[in-house]
Amino acid sequence: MTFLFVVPTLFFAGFLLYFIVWNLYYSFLDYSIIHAHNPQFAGFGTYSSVLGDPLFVTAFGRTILWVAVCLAATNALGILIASLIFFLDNGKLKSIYNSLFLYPISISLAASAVIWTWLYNPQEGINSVLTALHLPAFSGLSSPSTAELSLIIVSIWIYSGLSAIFYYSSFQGVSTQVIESARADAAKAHTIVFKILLPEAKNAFIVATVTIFLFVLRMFSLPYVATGLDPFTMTLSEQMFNYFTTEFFSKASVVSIVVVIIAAAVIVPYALFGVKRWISGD
Amino acid sequence: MVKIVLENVTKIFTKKKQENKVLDDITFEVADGNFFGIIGQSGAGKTTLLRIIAGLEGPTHGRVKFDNTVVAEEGKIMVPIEERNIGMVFQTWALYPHLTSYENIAFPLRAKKMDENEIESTVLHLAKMLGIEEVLGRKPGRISGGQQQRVAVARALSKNPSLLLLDEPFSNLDATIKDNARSLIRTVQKEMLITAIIVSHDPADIFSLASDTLAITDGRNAQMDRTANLYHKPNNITVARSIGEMSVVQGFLTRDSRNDVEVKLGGSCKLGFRRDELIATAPGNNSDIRVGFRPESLELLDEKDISLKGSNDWALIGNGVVKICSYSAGIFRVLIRLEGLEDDIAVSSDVSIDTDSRISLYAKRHDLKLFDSRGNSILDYSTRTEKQGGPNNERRWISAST
Amino acid sequence: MIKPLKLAKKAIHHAILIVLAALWLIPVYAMLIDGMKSAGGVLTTPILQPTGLSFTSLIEVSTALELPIVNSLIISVTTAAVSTLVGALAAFYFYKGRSWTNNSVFVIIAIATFIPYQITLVPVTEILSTLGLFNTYPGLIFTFVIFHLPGGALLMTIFMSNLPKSIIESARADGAGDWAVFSRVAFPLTLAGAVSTFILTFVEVWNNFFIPLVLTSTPNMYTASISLLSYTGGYGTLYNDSFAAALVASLIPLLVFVILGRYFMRGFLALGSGSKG
Repeated sequence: MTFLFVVPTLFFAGFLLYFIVWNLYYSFLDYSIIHAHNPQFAGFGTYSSVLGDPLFVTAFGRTILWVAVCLAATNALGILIASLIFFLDNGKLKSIYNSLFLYPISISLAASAVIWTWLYNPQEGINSVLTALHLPAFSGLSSPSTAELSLIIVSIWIYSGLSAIFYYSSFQGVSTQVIESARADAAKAHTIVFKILLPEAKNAFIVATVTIFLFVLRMFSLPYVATGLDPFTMTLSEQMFNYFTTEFFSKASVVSIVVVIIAAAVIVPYALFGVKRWISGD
Repeated sequence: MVKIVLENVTKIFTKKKQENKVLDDITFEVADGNFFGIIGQSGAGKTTLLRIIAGLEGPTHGRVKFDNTVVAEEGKIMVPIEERNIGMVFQTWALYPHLTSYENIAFPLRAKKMDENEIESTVLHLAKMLGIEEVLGRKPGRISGGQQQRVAVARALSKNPSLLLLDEPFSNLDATIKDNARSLIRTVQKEMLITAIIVSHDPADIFSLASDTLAITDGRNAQMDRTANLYHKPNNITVARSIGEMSVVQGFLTRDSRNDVEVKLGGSCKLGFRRDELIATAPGNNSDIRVGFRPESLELLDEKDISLKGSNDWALIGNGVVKICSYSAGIFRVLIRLEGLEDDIAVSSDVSIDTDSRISLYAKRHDLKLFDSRGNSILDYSTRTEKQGGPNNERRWISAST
Repeated sequence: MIKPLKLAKKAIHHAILIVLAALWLIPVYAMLIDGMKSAGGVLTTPILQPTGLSFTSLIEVSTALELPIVNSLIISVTTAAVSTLVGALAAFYFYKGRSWTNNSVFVIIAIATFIPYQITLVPVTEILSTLGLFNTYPGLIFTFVIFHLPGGALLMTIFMSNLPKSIIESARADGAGDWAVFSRVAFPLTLAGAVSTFILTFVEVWNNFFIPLVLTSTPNMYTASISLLSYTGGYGTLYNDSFAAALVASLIPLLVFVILGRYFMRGFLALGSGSKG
């Protein structure tokens, strides 16, 4: 009878599954503003037209680049921040810093977009400080060459604190006796980080990487609010939305399927790997 | 009260396609109102056995009956734990940390939907009996270990169970209060006329509470008997050791023309046995055997002291040195190494003895245990004179200075 | 005696952290000083330079965002409560048995937790339109529950897996049935985890932009984050309004983070590395 307990959850999770199947079905149709009332079966036709669409191709490449740069930066910054905090002596200070680097994640991406759009403003924003210091100005969102980089920087600001708490918590799992004996052996801080802490932080690396990967893969509102559906910053999710608003529904479904495949390649092994840790209680 | 019957209970856990037989064909019966013990080393399967009786697991094969009702059979649980009317005290006590002691004790009664007045009088009665009235308003985290244990006992008893199950209930208590806790349980069980089963690895728990005991090794019934018999007449070395300390040394058995037996220990010691003192299937001439000594059946004398020589009751085992002497509860435990023997022997002593002292070791003939090379007893206990146990009044000691 | 070298190292250590922290705080700093700048201040000072305080913009934006904030509250609180409570029920199921079916269902729930919600754009719009739930509270809440219930179940399972088995077994021995074990023992003992789950879900739903963008069509149904679209700062907008809007729309999740940050962090850590940290 305990099975009844999980029925409501399965009911809702079932919708999610249904949505994916639905997408799969529609991705093989030609359902668009042109065939709104009688969608035609198109086989892989819609797939080939989406994969041949330069807008999709750049959005795809851009999303992958975004994921790669953001992952590299958030992992590096996460390790740096976590180590700096880990070696503080004051426990109160540790938790203050941990929260301080994590707070951006509690603000909506839309709000972050609004704030950073202004901070990147060529005259009023950070540039006013750079100019005052006689440093070269940063063109930010106003130039196609730096627009994407500007948004990637915002995503790094948002997610580094998350990566830091994962690393920090795995550092804390390392026995203090091991660290104290390393200190007694006069080991330098960076030696402790690279030789003792990081080898134990494999789990943090996986968790931070997977979590941030999924966050960036579905990146939508940050570029959408900051620049609209701009061809120079458009991500996969935006491209899907773009097809949707222009009523190329099957094309939107194709993009969905592409996203699901990429996500599943990460989520499925992650979930299988996670099961043991998640329910490791006695 | 209830009679518990287990018939051919076998439990197999399957993990990653590997079958692990935790219990193998266990059969026994606990009479109405009896206090029954289950002893064994950790991993022997004793806790699984208790969980099967409780209904937390089902037997893979075999049958469990409460009186004449089959409660579980062949992998199926007919009567689930919540309907078996049992009280259970867990090793960790498993008190509800978010509830006060009062609410902990009242929990089973609320599950029965008993009315509030009745709950109150039951809880207060039990609290008084167990001496925990003053902690009723506090949560488990804020009372001592001994009090927590008594709250757990009160909770197990509050619904007036017909069977009380105790899983290592004293192992988390300080040594100093264990005996109090044991006597409290003994009293309560007698007063309330409950059938009780205790599982423990600690012989002290078993001796103090259980009148009959099952010793299990590797999931099998190694011996079921009156508790004292497990100690004095063990079926094998594992049983002997699970119920108390026993040193085992290698011996060599020879038989003469009349088939009487001589056992050689080390270089010089020879012990004689009549052939009827051994069971019929005991090994023949020229066999390796093992000899067991309880610490209290041994005597240490100064090497020069010959007062026990020629005694009928005492046999000289050999000479050797004291390796170490430690202390526990009024008795010194002396570990000695005899010349020509590879195993250390533990001896109880009333006095401390210096390390490296030279000593002679004597053993009480009647308390010697003989086992074959696989560890099974080869003595026919029925032919041995009943003259066992306890400290003896002719105990001597050697002075530490010699 | 502390060596000067050691002291210098300590100073550098703190200096790096302080500089990083300052960089991280720039957006909050800007929200606070610029959200409370007067129109005159906006025209005479750049964004990072403070001037006198004025609440005009803040009050104006608050009034405009009042309805969206109420909408966000209704939707976020309901979704978070449903996800936490219903998720806790599922968690109890996962806790109780470790059978093959049990584990498979759990893996499905775990996968569902991480599926990017954007992919359901087309079907969800279709279903809600068919059901007449488009642009309504029930429609939005229903959709959010679909996305957040698996996560709630996963988190609650992680937290519940810390419960000692013997406590649940002793409740059963005490005669409690499934519902009593859940409601009187398992759930009360996972309360801290439930708070984490609730807060994490609440903040995520509050901050969600995509779903209300797709599923609402009239301003009276807009949520706080959607409303920010009108403050993105095209030509002619003054930046004090933008910063005030960002501040007002983020105030509740920020306060939740500041006051209950411990629970928030524990939720993330649990999702990452299990309940033990």
